[in-house]
Amino acid sequence: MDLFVQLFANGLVNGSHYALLGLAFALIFGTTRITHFAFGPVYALSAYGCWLSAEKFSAPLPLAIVAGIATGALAGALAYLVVYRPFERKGSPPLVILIASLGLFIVLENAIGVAFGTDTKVVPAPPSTVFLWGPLVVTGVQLAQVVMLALTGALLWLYVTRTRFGKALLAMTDSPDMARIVGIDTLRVSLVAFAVGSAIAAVPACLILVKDGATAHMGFIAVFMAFVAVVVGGVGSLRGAVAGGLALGLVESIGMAKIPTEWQNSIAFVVLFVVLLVRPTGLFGGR
Amino acid sequence: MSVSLSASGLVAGYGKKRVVDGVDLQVEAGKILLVLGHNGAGKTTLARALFGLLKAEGGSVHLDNQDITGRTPARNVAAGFAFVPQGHGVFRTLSVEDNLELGGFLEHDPARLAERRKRVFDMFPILAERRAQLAGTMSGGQQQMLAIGIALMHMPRLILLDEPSIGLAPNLVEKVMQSVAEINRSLGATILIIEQNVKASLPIAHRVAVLKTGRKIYDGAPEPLADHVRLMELF
Amino acid sequence: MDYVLHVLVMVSLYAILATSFNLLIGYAGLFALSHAAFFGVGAYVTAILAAKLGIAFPWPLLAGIAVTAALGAAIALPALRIGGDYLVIVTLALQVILTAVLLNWTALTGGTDGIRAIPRVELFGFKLDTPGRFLPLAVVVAAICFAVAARLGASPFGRALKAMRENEAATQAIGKNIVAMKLSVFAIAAGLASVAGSLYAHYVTFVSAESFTIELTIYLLAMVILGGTGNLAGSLLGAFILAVLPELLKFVDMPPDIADKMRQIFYGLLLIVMLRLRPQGLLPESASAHHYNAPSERPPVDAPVAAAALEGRGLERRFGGIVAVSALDITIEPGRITGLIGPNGAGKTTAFNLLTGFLQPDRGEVRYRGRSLNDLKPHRIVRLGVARSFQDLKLFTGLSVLENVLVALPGQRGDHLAYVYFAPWVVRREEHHNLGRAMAILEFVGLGERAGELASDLSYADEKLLVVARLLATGAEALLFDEPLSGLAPNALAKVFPVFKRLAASGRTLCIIEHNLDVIRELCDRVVFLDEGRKLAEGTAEQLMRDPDLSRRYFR
Repeated sequence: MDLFVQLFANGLVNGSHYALLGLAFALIFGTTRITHFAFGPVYALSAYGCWLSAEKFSAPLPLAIVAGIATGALAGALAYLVVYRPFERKGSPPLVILIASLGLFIVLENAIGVAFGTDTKVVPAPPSTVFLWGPLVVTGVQLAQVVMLALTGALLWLYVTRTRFGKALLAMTDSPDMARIVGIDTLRVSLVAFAVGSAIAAVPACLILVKDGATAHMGFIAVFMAFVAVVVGGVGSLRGAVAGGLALGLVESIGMAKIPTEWQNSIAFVVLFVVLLVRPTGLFGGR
Repeated sequence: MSVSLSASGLVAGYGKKRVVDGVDLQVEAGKILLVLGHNGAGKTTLARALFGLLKAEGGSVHLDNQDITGRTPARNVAAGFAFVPQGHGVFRTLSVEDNLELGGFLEHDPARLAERRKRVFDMFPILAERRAQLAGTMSGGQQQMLAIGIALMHMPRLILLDEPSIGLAPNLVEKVMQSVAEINRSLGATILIIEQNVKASLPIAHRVAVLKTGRKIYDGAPEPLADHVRLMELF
Repeated sequence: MDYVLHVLVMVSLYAILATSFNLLIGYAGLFALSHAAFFGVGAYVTAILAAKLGIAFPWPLLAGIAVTAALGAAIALPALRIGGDYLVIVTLALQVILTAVLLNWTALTGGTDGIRAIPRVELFGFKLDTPGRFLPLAVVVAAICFAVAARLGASPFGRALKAMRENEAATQAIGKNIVAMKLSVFAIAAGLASVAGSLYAHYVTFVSAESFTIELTIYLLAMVILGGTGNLAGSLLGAFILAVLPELLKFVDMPPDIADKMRQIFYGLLLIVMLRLRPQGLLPESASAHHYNAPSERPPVDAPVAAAALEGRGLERRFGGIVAVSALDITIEPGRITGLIGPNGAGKTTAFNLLTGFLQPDRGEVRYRGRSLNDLKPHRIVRLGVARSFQDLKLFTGLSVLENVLVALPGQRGDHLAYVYFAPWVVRREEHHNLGRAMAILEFVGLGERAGELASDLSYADEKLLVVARLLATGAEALLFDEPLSGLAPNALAKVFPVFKRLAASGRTLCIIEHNLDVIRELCDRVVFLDEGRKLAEGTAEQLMRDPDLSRRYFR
């Protein structure tokens, strides 16, 4: 039982990480219909932005994280404006934009490698806090991951349900045609979606930097898991992406009780397959 | 306060297909023009080209004396030109309240928005009752009322409706047509309504135009078309 | 010098990879991001069999083909069930899981260390242990692989793949089994990639997981896009350019790992720029100039056939709570044209879908020639003699006018890979004969002059004619046309009417959905009026149009 509780907690922690990734990806994809593979390197860039502030500018960790988020938001917005937007204006089909995002993925990933090198970047760890609640052992960073999901989710929810522009985001996710019909500037909304989505993804990026360190290649598994979380949760649903991410984390964690840790990522593969075979529209999907 | 709309030699289509092939239209300020036509006659293409959702390949569109050909929908909305698209133009995953708020997206003054919302609820009390309900879960008739309500939130001087009666039961169709006529009367908004349902829409029209394979084949008073046999010949 | 030879060996391997990848994404339109994984499986199978079990060339290569082809087909299966959009994430997942297997199943794959000391290939007593010695083998194998891919691409099967890429529903509607096609092309593309993998293993003599990543797949993608999707010679060009050009970076002074990254940045940028400026690639896909070789004999198009009546009995179909069609009894008799009219949403297209297998009825039965068509897939029904066209055309816009008709001709042995590879002379003879048949059909509808043009370049009126020609080409005796003449001006209509009348006179079973009542009056001996999914009236055109109740319904 104790083991189960610990596994559940670990699942919740990893699930929060995946949920934030999925939420960010879903926000971008839902609003703009762009499969943004460069999401991975932008995520990595956020971690590097955080690292740079902490290492070179000796910023305290919270400030460095803010710098990381700003880096992510800027990089995401630029990716849209410089790379994707020209294709949109030309009327390129979605597949072409997807391939372009793969090109951007390669460019950014390697640019990070050239600029920062291939070693793992770490930041001075915060005073190591470990919480012991009954049978449960949770580190400070792990707690932060769960807390940030709740916080970010709440902030995003407030944004899209309470602010005028946030509702425009939801409108575009619901129907780009209707959004145009009521006079919404879809270019601005897309730009905001990319900036906000990348900012959200920057949060788990910075936490992973603190926890494990950052590498140029860290983005691939991030965009893959984000994609799986969205598919499992149901394409087009923000709530679904969060649920998908949490579900992935929990299944992975429980599964790891029986399977060696190295096979962790393969569990996501199995979950994906099962969901696609049994309920292709995802947990919350079906538009 | 209301505006006139006119199209001259309008050509629009998809790829090589000239769906709208040189159409002239006039709606006088404050009047209701009914555009009839069967499938493939080019009705929705015409609507989308007029509103700016589709790029016209030839001809021009004027709002009063202003050339609005090729203008984006956002600018047309800002100028008081609202569009109610075919098939219940609503945001399915959002509430009635949110839908209306999005209708008033370009308006920032909360007082004006509240006033407009009140007008919509007065005209369609059922929307007030269901203000928190998700639009996608409402019936077809209610969605159509919401779609019209969204247009009203723009405070429009001109409303373009694309087949508002589609998929609705006859009594609801009548309600929709009555609302349109009421909007024309009380708001003074100019109306261009595109329809296939002759019986319900003919009574509210001041003038009728008939489209067939992208061209206008009739433009005049509604009375001569009341005979269905005559209409069969036109179609 | 050795260095140049080494680059040429790598070009040969990339040539195999790029051409096989092109078959998948360029010809078949199946966007699979797992090519590096197939390459890796081939390499590891060879490494395991050769290094660990001491099995000599070429057996590991052949085993690799079998394993990878099976993997390719297996990965294709779930994606086929759920639809092409999900192929991307499924193949990406394969990439991830393969990397995990390679890194973690240490007993088999050597884990992070990989497998070393893979034995060299020995041919005729020579050990191929230098680039110079390996190059001839690499080039010969690459040439064979290219020939395999090119043979497939140029065959009727290849043409059907392209059609499937353009429009899946229409490809089913001309009688092709698209599931079988997808499985075949996946297996072949995967198999070819594994050949490259096997050679790679023998050449480099060691394999590790980091050589077979998503980055490699994107590299291959860049080659295919650069060279031109749908053009295999383009893939050779793309492979050459992208393998050679970055080597020029060697002349710039840079640490090797930076150089490697700069190389990747280069091809990433190239990919984006190519897509933006010239998405068709350096060597665009060419519409073939077959029509120049057509034989002069033209088999008659409207030769009499003994068609049967197509019957729908008690058909019912719901979507959620909405009844699209209910208690529908419809009989389409041979030798005349039956018109199907009714207001929007009356269920006319749904009726067509039910009659041709695109939808299954909830209740009721469809019968043709005394057998039930229920539960049969559309392509099977076409082969049994019932075919339909689409309201929104669904032409194969990337193919020529002639190819649109050619691909629809029935009973082509060139659709079967066994014939393509093992009896090409049979296929060639059939193609020659089919060219005549196709030209005859095009001339029958009045499109003979346009045979070599791209379908996307046609005027609207000619597009409508091509739809008729393609449907006719299926050889089905029962032809269901969904709004075949909508949007045509009166003079264009006058030209097409004789085509339909001659088809009816030949004994075929014809039905057309139309809104233009002039057309109905002119062509249809019998008209069925549908509304709200039910047949409300049936009779001659005059009878129905004079009926005041029906007029009222039509205009509600």
